Amino acid sequence: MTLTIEHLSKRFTTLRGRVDAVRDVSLVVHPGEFFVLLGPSGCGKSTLLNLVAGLEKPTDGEIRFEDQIMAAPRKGVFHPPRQRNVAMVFQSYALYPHLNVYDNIAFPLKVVRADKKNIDRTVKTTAAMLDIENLMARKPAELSGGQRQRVAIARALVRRPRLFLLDEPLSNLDAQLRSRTRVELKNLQLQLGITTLYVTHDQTEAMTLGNRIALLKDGLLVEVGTPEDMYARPRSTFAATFIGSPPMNLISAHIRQEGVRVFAVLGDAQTKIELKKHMAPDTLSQRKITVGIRPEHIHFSDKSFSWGLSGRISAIEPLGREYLLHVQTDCGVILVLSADKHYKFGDAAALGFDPDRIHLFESRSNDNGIQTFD
Amino acid sequence: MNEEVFKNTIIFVVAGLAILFCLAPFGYMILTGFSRHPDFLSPDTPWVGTLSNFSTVLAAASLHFTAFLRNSIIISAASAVISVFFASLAAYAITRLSLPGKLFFMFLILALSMFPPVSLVGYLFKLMTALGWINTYPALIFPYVAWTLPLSLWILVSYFSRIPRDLDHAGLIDGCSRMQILIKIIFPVAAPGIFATLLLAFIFAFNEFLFALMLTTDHAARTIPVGIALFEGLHGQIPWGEIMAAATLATVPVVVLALIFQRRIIQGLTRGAVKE
Repeated sequence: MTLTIEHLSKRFTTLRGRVDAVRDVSLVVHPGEFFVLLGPSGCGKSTLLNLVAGLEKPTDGEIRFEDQIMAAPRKGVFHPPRQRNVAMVFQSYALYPHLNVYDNIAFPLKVVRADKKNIDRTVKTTAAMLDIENLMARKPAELSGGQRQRVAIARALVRRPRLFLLDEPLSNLDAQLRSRTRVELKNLQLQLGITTLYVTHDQTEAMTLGNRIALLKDGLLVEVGTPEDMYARPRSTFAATFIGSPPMNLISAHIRQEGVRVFAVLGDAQTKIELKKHMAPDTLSQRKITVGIRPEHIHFSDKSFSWGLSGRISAIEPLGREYLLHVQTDCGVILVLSADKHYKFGDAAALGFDPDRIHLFESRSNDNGIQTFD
Repeated sequence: MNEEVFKNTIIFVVAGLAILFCLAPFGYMILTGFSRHPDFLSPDTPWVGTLSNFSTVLAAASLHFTAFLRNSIIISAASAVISVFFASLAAYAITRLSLPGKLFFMFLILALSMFPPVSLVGYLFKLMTALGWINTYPALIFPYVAWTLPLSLWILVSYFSRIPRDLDHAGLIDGCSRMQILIKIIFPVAAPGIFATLLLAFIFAFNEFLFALMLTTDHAARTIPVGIALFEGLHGQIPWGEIMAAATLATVPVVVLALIFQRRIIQGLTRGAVKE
């Protein structure tokens, strides 16, 4: 099913004032797509999900399932959740504590008074799919976190919804269980082909699960794209730092033109990176920009590059396979990933990076990236 | 004596005194009820056990004790059920819907409940006379519902507000209407709170004296507290033994109810609803 969101806004009015939780967001989610809403806490991603579910009424804009309008305040249309046939998995699981697992899963079917035999068959196949058939008689209180999670997913899927909504479903699980459930969830979604909207603040989840990601900040849609795209070609410093772990290094710089050659001059360090002609549109000249470079694209070098940076190692974080080194330079602390274990605290370090790997952003204060390279 | 033992001793002694203080009147009531001589505490009369007080109270048609008991149970149960039903609808709306001025509404109700009953009873008498309801069940049920509603509402609001909002959302998503959520999800989950409130409202109505005295005239609708109070003077002397026997019997329904509901009230039914 195609989900279309157009110019959607939600304003909460409380005694303490107004909060614009969602501001003019437009999105199209394609049939069968696994679409992730990503953003820091308070960015409006859960509100957006609740608007799609019908738990909240939008202040403005329009939500459509295929061609059916589900909510459009200007046209006076609002369909409550039960007319939308959507299913939702909550972060808290929200299982009914007075019902056992079987009745929890059967609940959505019983509410619509489905045929008894049909209910039984559907509940059992759904439970089998999630491998919880042996838990049917238990109450939610007698289940572990992971088991509750599965029951919540089974209850959501039992109705074969048009749209599958998940609100941070994995954040209450421990790390190991989380990565396992992630894989299962992705396979399950692929197998059922249900259009899915998934809310998370965890960029790893977003990257691994999503066909596409929408990045939100302060209620605004910052950018939309495939995980690969967002990683390789972030169009804003926000996306650049939010996606990828450890985050991208950002260095303020300005553009200087010397004859036909164009350089990005980093901070006060007077380190120049030559930009190739096609990289630097004329509009860039003399303007302040932000240079971004991912920690994995920086290497240590003994010989000084003409465009390198030098500094001292101020912290070392072992990550197992490699080390995350904090290097104090004139342009601030730069994060570097290195497999080399010989570096020690306080060592002098010369950093070099491939000019083809750097990203240019207009400036830090204004989040519109102008051009990126890789 | 170490500190731990000392502390425990103090706790036990104080708790024992408190229990003794609370239960002594009941003990006295029960002993007197079973005593042949009501003034058994005076040194020259020995305590002699008997069941005659109870048999008189239960058998003597002129005392109408069983009628009073039946009236009390029916009136109290009806008021408790009606009061809790409306209170739970209101509590659900107050805790779940975004209504303007909720807090004002709650305090207004609290303020109204502080109105002394004695200032209302005169008007109630006129009203019930005009309606022709004097000495009928509704004459007591309606005031009792009004009188116990604020209490029920406040208890249920605090109980409902602790039920996670996500359960309502899950219900809405799963296709319930608001009313279905209340009946299929909130009621079962809040069952301990509902039963506790029912019990309290029942006890309040069961013990009420003033309205029952003013709005009833005979055993057709008179409740136990009034009935027992009016025992005295019937036979020229105060029949302490029978009064105490009747009072003992009157506590039975409440004690039985408390024992039945105890398990349900204590049970933590919200366990495992959401991850804490």
